[in-house]
Amino acid sequence: MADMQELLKILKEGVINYQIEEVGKAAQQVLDEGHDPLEAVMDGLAAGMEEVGRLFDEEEYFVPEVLMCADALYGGLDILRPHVPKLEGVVTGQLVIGSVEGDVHDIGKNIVRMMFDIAGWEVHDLGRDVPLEKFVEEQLRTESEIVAMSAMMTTTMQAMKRAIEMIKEKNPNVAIMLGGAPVTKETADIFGAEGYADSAGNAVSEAIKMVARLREQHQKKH
Amino acid sequence: MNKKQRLEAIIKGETPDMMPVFPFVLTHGVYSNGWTLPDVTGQGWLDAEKSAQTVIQTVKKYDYDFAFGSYIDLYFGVESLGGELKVPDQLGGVVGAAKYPVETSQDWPGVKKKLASVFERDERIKNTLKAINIVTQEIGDEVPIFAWGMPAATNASTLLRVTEALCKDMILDPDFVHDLLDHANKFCIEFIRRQYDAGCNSICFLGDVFGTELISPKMYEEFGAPYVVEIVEMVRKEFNQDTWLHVHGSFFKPKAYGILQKLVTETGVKGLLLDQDHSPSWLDENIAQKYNIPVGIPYHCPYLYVGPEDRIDREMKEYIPNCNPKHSFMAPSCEIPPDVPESHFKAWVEKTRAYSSEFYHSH
Repeated sequence: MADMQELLKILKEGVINYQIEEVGKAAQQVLDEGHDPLEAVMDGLAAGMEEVGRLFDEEEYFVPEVLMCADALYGGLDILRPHVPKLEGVVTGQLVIGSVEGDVHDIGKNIVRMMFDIAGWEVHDLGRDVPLEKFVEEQLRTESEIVAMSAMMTTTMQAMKRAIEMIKEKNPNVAIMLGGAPVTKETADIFGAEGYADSAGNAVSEAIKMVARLREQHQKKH
Repeated sequence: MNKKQRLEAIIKGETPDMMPVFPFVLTHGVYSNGWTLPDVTGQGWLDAEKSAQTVIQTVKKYDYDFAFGSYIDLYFGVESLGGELKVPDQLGGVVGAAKYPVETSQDWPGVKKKLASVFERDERIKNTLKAINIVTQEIGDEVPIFAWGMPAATNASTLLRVTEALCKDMILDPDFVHDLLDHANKFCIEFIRRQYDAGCNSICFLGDVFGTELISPKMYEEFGAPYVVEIVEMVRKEFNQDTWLHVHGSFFKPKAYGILQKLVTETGVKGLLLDQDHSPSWLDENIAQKYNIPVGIPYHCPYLYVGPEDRIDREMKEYIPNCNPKHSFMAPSCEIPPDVPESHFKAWVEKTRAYSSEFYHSH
């Protein structure tokens, strides 16, 4: 039987060093040996991803490394998440996420999605090259508080403006978050989005603020 | 000065009469002519005459200085290698790949064989070359017509394999990546060669998304710069033209800036267009003054799209006095967005000319 501290170390370092198999084995061991899966997610996988975020900010890691780390993280998260109880008192929500129509790049979107997964959000990932009406349909179907859209190309980011208009027309109470290489805070404002994430790291905290504002508005109305 | 003299001036480091504008028109020309993409191209076909008119008519309408020789998207060759194009019909869309030829490494040997004859088989490429011929015959005497291409990694990520997979391959299987990149770069070189043969008469302009936005400076040294060298050398040797590079990413930190230095001093790149994070004064101090090469003043694309005209006016007025008169050309931070309104485009060109003319004459 392995010590939990030892397993946490394997999970954390496995994410940082993108050791997919080791992370999967350690995650299974956490369950098999009756350890706390939430602790394994938070102090193992998420702690590893936090270090990956630091390495990314300091330009030690770039996109290829982060993608590999993400694979290792999901190798563990997919095993542990079904066993993690819903957290009390933690602000989470539902989110629809996707790369807009015409944009086949979803690297940034996947990294942001991963941060929401770690934070315990219910994520409805539409993938890449998503037709604009699909964002509208999925938001209505899931009643998600946030719709997050990304674009990596300046040409495709224009679609975000049209998507926002379409979503707001059907449901003015949803909050929209934009991100992607060519998107700036100012662009997000101009396009009519409530939120903007300049990195995966701040996407979740921005979403939490947006959900809090939405709920505040909702309470005032009722 | 005419447009060719204006270009010559910034290449030589002399002050032109006004700042030249290079709007980096790709899909915009289609919508500007009142067409949608399916009017101009589709899976396995491209209308050469319409492709040519996307250039000719926008040059006439907006009177900008440097142009590409045809309609351009980033997926030429994909369908001839077993991939599938996606051609949206709504205003503002751009061509993409619905399926990439190399989904797994097992697909690669077969795709490699198809690559050998792609220029003889691909109708979109063949008709693009016809379009270049039409354009250069009609406006090539007055307008510098640029050839274009995407160096190895960027070309591989549009022609062969989706970016995310290619990024992971760079860590997991670098030999496989180099094989892909060698072939993607050969494709790029041959496409450029044929564009010059078809009539392009000026700079070779490369677009590279694999700058520091995606990969580390160290990776760029392995997967980027060596391939740029091959293109620069061919263009210089066979056509006696300079190569300019549009590269994405942030180049402020020493390691990343080192890449720019290397590109200019070792690979022979003779002009740069970075993204909107790099201000005119930073570009002046760190590129134009240091290396005496033309540098694009990157105006953030979405602002062209949303305007309004008085904002564009205000910003050109602020931008221009911070630019280096001897080396600057005005450009969008990447491809001009497809559905930029006519009035915004015109305001941008006119204000650039008006304020730069005033500023240059006062120098």
